[in-house]
Amino acid sequence: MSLIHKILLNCKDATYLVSKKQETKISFVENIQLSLHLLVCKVCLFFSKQTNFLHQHLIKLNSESCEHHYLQLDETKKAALQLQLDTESEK
Amino acid sequence: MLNPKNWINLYADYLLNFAFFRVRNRELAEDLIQDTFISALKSQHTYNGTANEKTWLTAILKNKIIDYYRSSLNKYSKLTDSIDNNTNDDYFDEKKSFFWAESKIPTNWNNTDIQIENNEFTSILMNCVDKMPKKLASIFSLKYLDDEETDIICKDLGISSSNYWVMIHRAKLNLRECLEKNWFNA
Repeated sequence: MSLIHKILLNCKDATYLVSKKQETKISFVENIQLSLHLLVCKVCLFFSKQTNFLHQHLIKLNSESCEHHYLQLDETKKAALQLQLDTESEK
Repeated sequence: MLNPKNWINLYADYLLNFAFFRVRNRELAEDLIQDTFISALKSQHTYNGTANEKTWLTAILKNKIIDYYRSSLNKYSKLTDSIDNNTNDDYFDEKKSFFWAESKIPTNWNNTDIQIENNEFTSILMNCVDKMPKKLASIFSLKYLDDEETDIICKDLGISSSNYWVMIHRAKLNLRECLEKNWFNA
């Protein structure tokens, strides 16, 4: 553990800033603190790289999720649902 | 022009996949799309023709999903508050100036870029999302699986933005650890 951990930013707060930075802007001072921390802390750098990777992967999965059509509704359920809609329409 | 006669045929599978990816439960996803079609039928008069039929139905489903998360979050918040608070700082050791706790220290992951196209990896990832504490999973799913804006999530779920960031962060700590255990170091 370095002096930076003790006086500038600990791992708990550094990883919080990593998570927050992935979603929104963090302040200039926070950015400097975080950069310095990641320069000396290999473990938090792992956390940062790995959660960045997950962040990107999840965004990609989200945009692709519907194109795949992994699941299909049973034909009997489709027929029942259509019947229900038809009955409702006639009301 | 809306044509309910064709809805099931054209959109049921699409909407089922849309819902399942976001709520991670097949039965629930089927219920939600059923609700969606019925609501859509009853509110046909609100359709103004600017969006196409599919987009319009998807928007109705999205609202149903948010309603579901809102009610499940209320239900779980009392239940899990104590658990969440206890595990809050497990990842970091107060006695070591909040350095990573011994058993939680992240290790290096190899070949992350290769995993992107790997379906098995994706299924482990989704399993990890499913195993998250319910409260975190709700917030996380809205953000990542539904791509909802932060301020909308906070408003819909009645939480402060600082609370939101803490929960998103905990979700990431949780998810990263789960993947490390079940995939990278499995």
